[in-house]
Amino acid sequence: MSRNNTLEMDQLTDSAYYILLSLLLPRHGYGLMSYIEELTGGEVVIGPATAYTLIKKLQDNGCILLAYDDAQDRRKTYRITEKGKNLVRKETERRKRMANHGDLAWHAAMEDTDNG
Amino acid sequence: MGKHTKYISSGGLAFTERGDMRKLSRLSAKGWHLEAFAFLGYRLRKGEPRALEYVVDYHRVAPDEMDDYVGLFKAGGWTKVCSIGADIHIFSAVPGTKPIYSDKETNLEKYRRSVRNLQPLLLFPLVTILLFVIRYIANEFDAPRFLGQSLQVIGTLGIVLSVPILMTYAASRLRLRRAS
Repeated sequence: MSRNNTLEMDQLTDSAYYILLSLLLPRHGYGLMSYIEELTGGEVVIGPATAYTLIKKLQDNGCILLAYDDAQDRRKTYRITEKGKNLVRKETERRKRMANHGDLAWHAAMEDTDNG
Repeated sequence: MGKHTKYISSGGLAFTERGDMRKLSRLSAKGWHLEAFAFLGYRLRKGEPRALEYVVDYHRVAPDEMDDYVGLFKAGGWTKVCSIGADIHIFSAVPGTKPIYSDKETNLEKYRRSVRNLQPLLLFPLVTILLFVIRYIANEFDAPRFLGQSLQVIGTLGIVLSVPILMTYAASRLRLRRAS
């Protein structure tokens, strides 16, 4: 199962990033998809097959785990682990820096145009 | 069989996944809806004409995980129609439903899994080659005739099985490369 199933762990794909963020609080699989849509104002929609692939993968990598398996309605709930938390925190910072780099480059370019 | 059921052939999912799914859509528009996989094709059932899209997913889903898996798709607007074993699943949805894979990376992994599912079958061509090697050696050493003949029969059977296996495997590798 977990062969070829390891995640490139230093950088998260956009989808993996959003899934980890959504599991900062325990959620069902489908709760996670609607939460991401809500969080991003509909800008990011994760497809069910993408969500399933990444839930399995993040579970295999110990970034998330089954919080509890509600025997009554048979829905599985997932939550983030410490490892997952560290990873997504770093990723949030990295992406913030990237956005800053963008701002810096835009400002520099605009100032340059104004002076020239 | 009756008038309410009909069978259509498949080009083989590894070869004609998209074509098959489009064909199923066209048939649904005429009131023939996919009901199940059948030998080398699909079984359809007569109903009201509906606009439906079909997609295939490859995931090994354990029985106790099926509810979760199908539930996710349900939330995304996709209804499971049928499966082959635990690995191949077809879903349908009304046109305009968002795709089941929303990024390239995970979509690629779908095709990687389909290649991996086929790998155990490569044992057939491997054993077949081995049989022919043994037969060759047996001939060289004047082994009893019946041995050579049985090896010939089993080997021929092996080829009959190996050709479609190798073609399917090659097609699924090609599909993965195209998706990459």
